[in-house]
Amino acid sequence: MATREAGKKMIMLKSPDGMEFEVEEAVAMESQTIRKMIEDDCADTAILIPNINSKILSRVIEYCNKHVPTTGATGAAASDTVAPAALAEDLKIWDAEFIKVNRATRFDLIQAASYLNIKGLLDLTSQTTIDTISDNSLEEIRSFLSTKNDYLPEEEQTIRRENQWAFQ
Amino acid sequence: MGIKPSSLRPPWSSPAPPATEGGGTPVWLPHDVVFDILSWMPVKSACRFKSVCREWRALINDPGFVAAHKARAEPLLAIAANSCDEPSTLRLIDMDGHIIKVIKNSHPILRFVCSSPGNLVCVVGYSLETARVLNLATGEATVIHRKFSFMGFGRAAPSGAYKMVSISPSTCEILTVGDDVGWRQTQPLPSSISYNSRPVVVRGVMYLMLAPQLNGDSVTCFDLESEKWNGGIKGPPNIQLHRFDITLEELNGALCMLQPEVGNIYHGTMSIWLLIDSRKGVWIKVYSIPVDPSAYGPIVPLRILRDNGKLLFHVTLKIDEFAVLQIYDPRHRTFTDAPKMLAGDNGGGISFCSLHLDSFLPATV
Repeated sequence: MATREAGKKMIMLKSPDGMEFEVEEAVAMESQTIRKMIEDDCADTAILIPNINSKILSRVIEYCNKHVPTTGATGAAASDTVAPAALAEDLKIWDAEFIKVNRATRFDLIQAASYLNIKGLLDLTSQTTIDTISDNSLEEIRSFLSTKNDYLPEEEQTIRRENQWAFQ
Repeated sequence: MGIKPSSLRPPWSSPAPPATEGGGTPVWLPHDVVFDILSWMPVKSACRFKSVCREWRALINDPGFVAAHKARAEPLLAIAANSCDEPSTLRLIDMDGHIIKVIKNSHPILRFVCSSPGNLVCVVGYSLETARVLNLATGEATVIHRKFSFMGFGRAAPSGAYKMVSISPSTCEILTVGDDVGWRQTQPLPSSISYNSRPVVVRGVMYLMLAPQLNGDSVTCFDLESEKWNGGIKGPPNIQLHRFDITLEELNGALCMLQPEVGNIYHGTMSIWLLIDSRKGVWIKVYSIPVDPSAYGPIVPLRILRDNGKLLFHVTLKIDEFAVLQIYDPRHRTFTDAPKMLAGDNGGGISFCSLHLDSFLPATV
């Protein structure tokens, strides 16, 4: 184990508010955006992550730490002894706890996941969002996403009629 | 098409927000993010949200979005129930068991001919002479006089026309739903087919099992748009395809083949293959399912669920009982009954098919 630990390459991620996070390269590479930077040799020892504040970045790193294959909180040995099914189950429970955040944080996480291109986190945050808004009224949705109703009244009636079953 | 960034500001200032740490600042959600969020929407919400604004309607009607949605969001199930006393009902149910819509029918529905993408489904009842085409959006039914009992139904691509194909060993006739021409002769079958497997339409192509194999091909294809037989597809490697008990179905938008590995369709092990590349004839085995030896009928797959690749299927377990919905967990090789609310209280013979967002889009898309 010791040699393994020593062999790990570390990377520094910097948030625009000046915080620095030292993470394993494998963890950082859960983000396809960072992976590409590293593979293209665009990355120095430190990478500045624009637009993602330290609070959100630390949560994203927490997510990547948990989801990086074969390592994670329980260490490399765990995957040899624990059945993949149990690991997946464990991750699901962990995800459910992880995403218990307020709406503002969730939106920040979605945007971070989108910018950093972390598919698992994007899926998790998007699914959770849709679960909370799918039953909302049109007015709530419009106000929720600051969208204006730009239909003419007769147009809106036609669209509604076409999809009437969905309003019942 | 698409959504203007200006329309996508999230609601930091929405009324009665939950505790917002760091909230209050409008944050812009990029188009991709909105696309991602909405692509998980239930079918019913998607249809409703078309009324939000023009840009959302354009997004939800977009073929690229529809394809993403199909891969992510769970489908609706159409469950037809017949009982002796009451009119037959067709219920559309989401995967949480909520009833989305109920369509009353004057005639019983014994089976779905094909759950073709589009808002029309074709069903048959007790009559050997007629089939009915139901509009899921409006509930209207169109009666079509059948030619032969062996038939397929689906939507041609890219025109979107609904066509019915009726097949006998010597002739093949075709009808376009909604035109006044009626049945037309078309190219006869290129070779003999297995009448144990019903025609399956996937993305505008009708597939039939050949019996026996022809030049090594085991499936033959008919293009609904050009109305021509398009040559054959080889089956999965190293399996005996001359057996009578191999059948075709549609699963998660792809052609699937059910092949008894050991035993027969009623007991033993059933392999489920998906055709992932129709040009090259590439099949992958997605399940190998132990079949309940006491089951009366074969299993009919409905949907690979988002939940860890579990398979939703229906099966008739006993001769005097109705089909039941079950879920197979491939990781633990276990079966569970689908939630009661999903199966519902049918009180009569039932049949199932699964539907997606494209079932509820205008025909021009």
